[in-house]
Amino acid sequence: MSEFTLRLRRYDPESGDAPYWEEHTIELEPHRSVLEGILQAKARFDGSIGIRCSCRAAICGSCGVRINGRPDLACHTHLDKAEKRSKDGVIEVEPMGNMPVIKDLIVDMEAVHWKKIRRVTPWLIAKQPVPKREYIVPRESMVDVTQSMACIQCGACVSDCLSMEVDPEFIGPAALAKAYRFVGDPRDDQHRERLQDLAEDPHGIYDCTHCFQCIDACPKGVAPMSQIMRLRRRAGNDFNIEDRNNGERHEAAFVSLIKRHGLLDEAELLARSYGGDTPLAKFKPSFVAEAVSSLPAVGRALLRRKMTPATVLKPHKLAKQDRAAVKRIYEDVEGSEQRAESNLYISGKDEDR
Amino acid sequence: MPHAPASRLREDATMIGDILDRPRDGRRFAEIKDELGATMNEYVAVYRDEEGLTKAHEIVHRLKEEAGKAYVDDHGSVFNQDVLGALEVGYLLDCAEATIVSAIDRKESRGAQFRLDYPDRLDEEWLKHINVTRGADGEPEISYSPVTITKWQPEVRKY
Repeated sequence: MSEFTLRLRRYDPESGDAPYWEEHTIELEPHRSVLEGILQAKARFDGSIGIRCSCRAAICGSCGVRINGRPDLACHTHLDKAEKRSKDGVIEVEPMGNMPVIKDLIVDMEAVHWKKIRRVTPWLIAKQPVPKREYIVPRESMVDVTQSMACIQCGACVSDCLSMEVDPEFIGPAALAKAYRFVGDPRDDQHRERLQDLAEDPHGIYDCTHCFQCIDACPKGVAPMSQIMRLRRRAGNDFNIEDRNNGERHEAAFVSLIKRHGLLDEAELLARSYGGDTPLAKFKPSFVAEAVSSLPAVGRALLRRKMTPATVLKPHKLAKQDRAAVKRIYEDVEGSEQRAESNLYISGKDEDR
Repeated sequence: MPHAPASRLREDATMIGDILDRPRDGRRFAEIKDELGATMNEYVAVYRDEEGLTKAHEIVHRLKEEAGKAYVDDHGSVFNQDVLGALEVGYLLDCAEATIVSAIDRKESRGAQFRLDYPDRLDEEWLKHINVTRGADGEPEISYSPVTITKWQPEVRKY
């Protein structure tokens, strides 16, 4: 038995008081979970501590919380490891982010998470006619969606999604991973419609900023951001969906500019994102209109030296041999028959903690 | 869904109100739950005998009385898991008592019951279900019902 101190974020919606921190010292073996620690504090010291839990074995997804500032399942985090990662030897537990707090560690999953899950039509829309017996699908296509199926709806990725912090309407990592589960399923009949819908939605697949927080957060190795990127590849490359958010053009511009210079040409990127992936983009009316309306952003970029008048006129480039190396990467990726999908279940490089 | 009559809901509301209003001079529900768990583990696991089961029955009896006066810490109306836990302790105590009285009654060993004082399986007398219901005085009452045997004939398990 060892002693651990928990610092819990408490909030009582009926008290009229602001949230506050409360410390409890509990006694358990070091390999026991943070959830068991919280339940001991609840049983011994204060029955009013609120936390959802059910299976205690990392499969029901009920006990999503933030431990030392990072989202995780309370039942999937050992006390000794949590203590080691804490900033002052006290294990800090608070409710997940991006969702309203109902009480103590309990957040309103319905208001954010479940609403977004329903947004992506989270069921199979079967091809007609439906076979009399079961569908036969190739094994590979099921392996392809296995990673997105591992989701237990705990909300950890939603908690720390930076895009959702900026745009609360962003469909978000969990729901988009769920969307891929059906876009990647050969039995589904609405791949194009689903992708079109998610690409055209200004809060859809192109609202993700590649920050990797959701991949870090996920306790089940779902890698939601990877699923979002696969949705983009399906939408842009396979179905050629050119969305009104310029997401597809923005991505195409990245790909061709890096191929050419090895480094990003910010000024040209802006032009091509709106005018299309061509050197003439900056003369197209669609870009000129956008450029005028984004003058404040351009001003800020110049101020912070993201762009300088010099780099606008003469973009920086990598050295010649480095550009050749970049080019080889392109040849390798574009030349391979199978698209690199970075699916842990396919590559076998499972880094599940 | 079965429909609960309004009178039943009023009874439940009164019961919950009563738990919320109790003064803090009894035990906490969590203590009762802990003691119940430890007791069941010690005396009512697979290996049992009359002595241990009787001891467990006495403890559960006392815990039931204590639960009638136990109090909760949470008096709020939002996500009150403390009251939910209190109600669950009541059901746990009922189930524990039903388990114990039928274990005492069944003077043989069968399946997950190994009576150290009655190690043999006795199909002639005990191939029957034990039913436990709550009697008029609130105490458990035992009755029996026959076992329906279809394809698989009963036989002693040998390993």
